[in-house]
Amino acid sequence: MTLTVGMASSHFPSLFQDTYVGWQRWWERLSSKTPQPPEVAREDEACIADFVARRRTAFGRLRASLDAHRPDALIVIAGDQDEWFDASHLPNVLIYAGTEEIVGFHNSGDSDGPERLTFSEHPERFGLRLHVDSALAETFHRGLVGEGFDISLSRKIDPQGRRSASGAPHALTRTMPQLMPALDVPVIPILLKTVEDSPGVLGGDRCVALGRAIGKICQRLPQRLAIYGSGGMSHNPSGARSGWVDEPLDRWVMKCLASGDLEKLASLFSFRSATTDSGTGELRTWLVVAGAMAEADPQGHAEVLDYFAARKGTAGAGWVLWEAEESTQRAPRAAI
Amino acid sequence: MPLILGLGMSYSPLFFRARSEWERVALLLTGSVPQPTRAAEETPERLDALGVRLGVALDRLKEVVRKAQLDALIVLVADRRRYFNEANIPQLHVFVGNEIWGDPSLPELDEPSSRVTLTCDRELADVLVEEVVASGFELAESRGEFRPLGDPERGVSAALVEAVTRVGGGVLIVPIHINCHAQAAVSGQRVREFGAALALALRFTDKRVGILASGGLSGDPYGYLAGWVDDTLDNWVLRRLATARSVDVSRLWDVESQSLVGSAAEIRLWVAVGAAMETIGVRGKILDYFPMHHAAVGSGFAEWETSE
Repeated sequence: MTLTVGMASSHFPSLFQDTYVGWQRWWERLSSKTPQPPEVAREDEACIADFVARRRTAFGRLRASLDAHRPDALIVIAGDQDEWFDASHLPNVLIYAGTEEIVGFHNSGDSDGPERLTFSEHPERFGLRLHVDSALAETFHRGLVGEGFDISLSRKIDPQGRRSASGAPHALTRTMPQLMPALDVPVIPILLKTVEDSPGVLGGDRCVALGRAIGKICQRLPQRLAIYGSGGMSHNPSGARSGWVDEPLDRWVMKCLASGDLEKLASLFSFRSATTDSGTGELRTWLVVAGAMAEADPQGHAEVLDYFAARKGTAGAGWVLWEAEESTQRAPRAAI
Repeated sequence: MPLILGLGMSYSPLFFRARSEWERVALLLTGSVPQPTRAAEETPERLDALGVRLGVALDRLKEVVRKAQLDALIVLVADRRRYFNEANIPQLHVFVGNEIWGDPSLPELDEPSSRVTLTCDRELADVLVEEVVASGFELAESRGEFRPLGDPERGVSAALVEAVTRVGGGVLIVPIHINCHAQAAVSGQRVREFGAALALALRFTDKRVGILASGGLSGDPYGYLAGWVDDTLDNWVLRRLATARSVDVSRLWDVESQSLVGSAAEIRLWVAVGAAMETIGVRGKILDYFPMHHAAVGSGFAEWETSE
């Protein structure tokens, strides 16, 4: 068993602010022009302080698990939002297998200071580089194509999106310092179409199947691997439902993950709605991780580390962890 | 029945040049590769005769397209680093836009640039994206303006531009790229399933649609075996397609062989058309085939015609 850790988390920008001011600034930027749900008014300083503490704890758990398992590489399942690719070249699923390092940014604390900082203008503070295990990435590409998945291949970073100045897809980079502060685990980036305006986006069943295929390939490899799904949960930042978290959906997803009910989860994204055609589409990355971990450890299930509906942050904030090694003691599941 | 016509045509730039240019084109395609003995049989008289057969076959395809009164023609082609570059090499890709262009001129022969713009059926492409992805394919797409990255000056493959210009008669097209040349490439079985999925997706439109494979057959133009043609392989492929056995052809790439690289890799395109047409119960009809060393490809032409 070489796939020993699975992780998924939200990555919305206010989540990485430590202050009420920081959250408020991001809220003003993303949601202040949209009619807001009543709960937003209740997200006061004390509430935000609680969110910040819970974020630290949850990412701390993921970090500790990754540290304990010391994988040789981390498979990162992420979306691209007009960063590397725009509509003129839109892969559905793509593996980056180049040797060039991924250059991107985190945004931790970009709005906490006296004035809001644009993270891409301050690479000395927010910039980061990820080393890619290109040989393993090629192995996964070959393996997945062999398994019947039509995976696009990238061996060169040639950003084309409108947001290319922001570096690599934020979904790939933003949470990395939270998971591995030293950025010392090479990554295998797998990009999924998640929020694009296209009718051709993967359904939940196909995401789970993709994950299972990844899990199967992991079993054939000698390396110790971990996998991480980036983004979600329900959110529509700057959109018509910005701030209107679909809490029932998020909790249902968590419940399915905790019980290992992938059949139910596979029906997610089988229809189109205002909820799912949005940042919520990033939950596809979670389904891929769930499929991979189900293959690695058929008896296992996710541990829900935490969930809260952060309406001021525009999103449901969630963290889940799978640990496949039998020797690893699981903590009790969190109530949801 | 929205899918009413299937077509397959090999591609060589020689097909679309005047007879007087063929020697120069052949030299360009075959370079310094030692040629098979049989190439010497392609005397001027023999080439004249092949030129006649080529013209008849292409005219026949054009006439079939005209008579079918198509609303749109799906065109399957392989990219050779013109549309895509190393940053993104899709396995299966559809263009969802209004216009696509390409320049089929051969600058090596001092031909002037001749950009050709083709009009596309964006609406149909959108239906295909939705339905084919829903049926389990990771179909990549391009939306809006055509923006080639591999060769921004020359645009989409000449195999698309020259085939459509020659036989399309102005019909709207939906360009679909199937990765045949970048490893790891989509398997033959997967391509066959894809072809079938295209046919099934067309149930959701009332348009009269044809599907054309432009590429192949065996050969390795510009490559290690440029000028060598495996007509044994080609004839087998065409016979299997003529008996509705695309399933047999789809297994080709389970094997690694020098015979299967180069333009032979583009037989995948024919598998997709065969599978699409077999889905509606139609088998292929070989119009003509001749190994043509000057063209550097086995030159095959086929149609799958329904009673519509």
